[in-house]
Amino acid sequence: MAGVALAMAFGGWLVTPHDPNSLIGMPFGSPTWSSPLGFDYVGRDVLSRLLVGGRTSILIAAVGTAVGEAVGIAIGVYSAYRRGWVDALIGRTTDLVLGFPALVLSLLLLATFGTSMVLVVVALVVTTAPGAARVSRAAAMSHVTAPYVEAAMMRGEPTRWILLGEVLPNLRRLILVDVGFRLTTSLVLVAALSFVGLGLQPPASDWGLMIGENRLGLTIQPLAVLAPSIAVIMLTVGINLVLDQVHFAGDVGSGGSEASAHV
Amino acid sequence: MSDPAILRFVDLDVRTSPQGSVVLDRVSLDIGRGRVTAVVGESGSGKTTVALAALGYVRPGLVRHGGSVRFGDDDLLSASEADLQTLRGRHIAYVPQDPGSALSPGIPVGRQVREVLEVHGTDADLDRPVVRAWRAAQLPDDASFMTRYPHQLSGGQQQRVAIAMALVGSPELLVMDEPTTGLDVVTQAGILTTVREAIASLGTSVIYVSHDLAVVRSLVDDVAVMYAGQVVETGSTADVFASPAHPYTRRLLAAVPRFRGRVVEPRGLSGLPVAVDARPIGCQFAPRCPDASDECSLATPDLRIVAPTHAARCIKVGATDLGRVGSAVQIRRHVSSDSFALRVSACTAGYAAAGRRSRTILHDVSLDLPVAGITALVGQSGSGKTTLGRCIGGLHAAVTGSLQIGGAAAPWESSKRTAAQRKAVQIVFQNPNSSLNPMLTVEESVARPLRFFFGASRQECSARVAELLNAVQLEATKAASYPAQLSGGECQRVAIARALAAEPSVMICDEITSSLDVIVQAGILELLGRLRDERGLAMLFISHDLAVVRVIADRVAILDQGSVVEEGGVDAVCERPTSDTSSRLMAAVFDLGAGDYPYARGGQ
Repeated sequence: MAGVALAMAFGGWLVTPHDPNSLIGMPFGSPTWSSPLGFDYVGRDVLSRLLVGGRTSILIAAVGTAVGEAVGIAIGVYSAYRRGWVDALIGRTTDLVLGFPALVLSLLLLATFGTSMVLVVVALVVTTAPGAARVSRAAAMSHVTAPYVEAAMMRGEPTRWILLGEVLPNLRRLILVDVGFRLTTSLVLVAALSFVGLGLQPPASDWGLMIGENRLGLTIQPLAVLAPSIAVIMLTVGINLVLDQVHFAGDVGSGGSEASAHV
Repeated sequence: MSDPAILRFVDLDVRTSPQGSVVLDRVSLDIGRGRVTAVVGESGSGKTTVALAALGYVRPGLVRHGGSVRFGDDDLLSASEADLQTLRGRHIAYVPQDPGSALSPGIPVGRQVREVLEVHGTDADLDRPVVRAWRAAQLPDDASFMTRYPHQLSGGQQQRVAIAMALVGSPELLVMDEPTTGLDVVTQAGILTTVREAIASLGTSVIYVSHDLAVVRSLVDDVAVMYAGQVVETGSTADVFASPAHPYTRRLLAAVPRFRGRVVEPRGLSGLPVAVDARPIGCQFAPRCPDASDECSLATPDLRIVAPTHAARCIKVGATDLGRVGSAVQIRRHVSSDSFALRVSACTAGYAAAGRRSRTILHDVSLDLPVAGITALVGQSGSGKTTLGRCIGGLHAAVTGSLQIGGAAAPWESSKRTAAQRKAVQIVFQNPNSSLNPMLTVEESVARPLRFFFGASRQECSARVAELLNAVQLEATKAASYPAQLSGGECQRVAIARALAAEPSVMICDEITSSLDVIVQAGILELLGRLRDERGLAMLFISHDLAVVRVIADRVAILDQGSVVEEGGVDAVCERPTSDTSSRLMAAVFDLGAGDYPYARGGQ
């Protein structure tokens, strides 16, 4: 499912039947043979716009999530390792940021500084990082006092070595799941921002933007709204399913064997 | 009228699935009425599966494939859940291995004992049996103690509560699954005395599961030795200890550290217990047996009668030229050299918890670790022995006193030590399951100090890791394994290899054998002795078990409440203790007895 959505998003522009930006039909025109999904509010081909509309928002969401996760994990693991006032300070700061709903925070940011792709990415980083920090801190907590970490501290390994070499490998699976979860949240957020007009700007084609632009004609030409909605749903649900599979596969791969079972 | 056996295992066959691997291979065993029967074996031998079957329980993931467990006229494994509920607690009770996780943390302990009776709907007066069980478990007899929560009790007290819970329903049969394994020797001795007195006065029959023959000797009437899912030897305690008939039993006895009499090296056993999914044809023990011949691998031997109450599953029972474990090696004591790898003087350490009263753990402790010598640090839990190990390792911040590593003064905190000083002191931790990083392979774990201290390249690392694994007697193929795929003993060997990778002069071993089976422990002890001799390592061997210390250490320091109360050569301290603490620790040692055993006599 995610595969279909991704293929559509990244390969779609190769097979668009029409120029996504040229006005070739009636506003909210019904489907025709050459335009099976009908026309949008200014008469552009919905299928063509759907096929090119995923790429940018997925890329933005992916970059924003990746950077946010990286920053969040670094902060979280370091905070767990250092403890004391560093931990407290970081903890309260993440609490503060998490106190705002992600959408409100992003709207605030974009409304204050204007809209641009870079700022959308920044907004995603800001909304992703605190959650990732908190999750990774909690997970790292039980590892930073483990004997193998103490053995490394005794050897005098620098903090960076210990965190990357001893602590991070134990968070691998958790991070994978967390990334998926936050990626879908980010995708929805990007779509939402586009929907309210603070994300990608017209005439760019984008699934969230399409939903927003065409919502007035929902009763006349429902496909113009439904098609991009379904695309977003397929992508987010699909990503979650894929990650679940990866997660379970990972369980088997590094699970215990007969030797550790105490009979 | 009364059956001499209270419980009979009849050809019990338990597998991982109907077509799967055999976990219990036609186990037949009678548990004598009013007698204490030990089920002894190493991890994976199936002894816990036997114990649980006595409760009519088969662990999820296993199925009963055949046979029965007969209690009176009932087959426990066919009984309905409702019948079992009436049986359990009232007729058959269970004392688990780890009371810390068996007691409910949120309910006062007195209430938990009482609950057993309430569940069974016993009418009228609940107080009398509760108080009786409470006393039988030798718990403090005041009302306030009953209102405490499990976390407010020590490990030994928790185990006593679990025993009281088992005794309160006046069961006819008590199943105890390694009830003293997690406890230090003094606490263990106390619990065993309690168990012995309680069952003597109540006339309860007991199944006592253990991996340590020395511990059960003073307690039990009968012994069943298990290996690879089979009962390999049964007999009265006197028979089995005086003339063990199965080679595995002989190896189990040889692995127990001797404390009194002629001190000989405990002997390990090469090879691993056979895995459940790789059982050989014929005698299960043949691959590790020193006396095995070709015919041993033809068919599974039957239990052969050795004496009226003594049988063993070995085709060579009765043969006279067998059973020598090899010559008993008299332990070579090392004359302590004058050069010290590490010296601690006037070490005082505590926890300066913010907002709380700071607590001093160690008072003015001085200790020298001679080159090529093993110094034991012995004390009960809470005596501060682990803290001293951590101080020397540089993991404890609030320390005063002075430290010398290799003749030069060194700071306490590892972060302030020079690289050479950090290399010099390495530590091996107690718990084999957490001392290795579960997400790193053996090679990655052992290679970390190599890369860090010596900047070794990838190829150099592989070569060195292979050498180090060889030094700790692990196959090179284990390099690619994850810790979860290794046994406890193998994990500890890897942890030792990781410590050796730094090329240390001092190795701190913090109770590294206390969670291992005796046979595995004997193997690790052999290894430590060899590392001392071959590499001239100075070791600090932290332990609570004087019997282990006696066979491994050269010098010993006894620690009590943070102070060294006695120090000296290990023989001198063990033979002529001068402090109460040492005497108490010594009294708690379980020993096979002073005499040599026939199998230990004679040469190769």
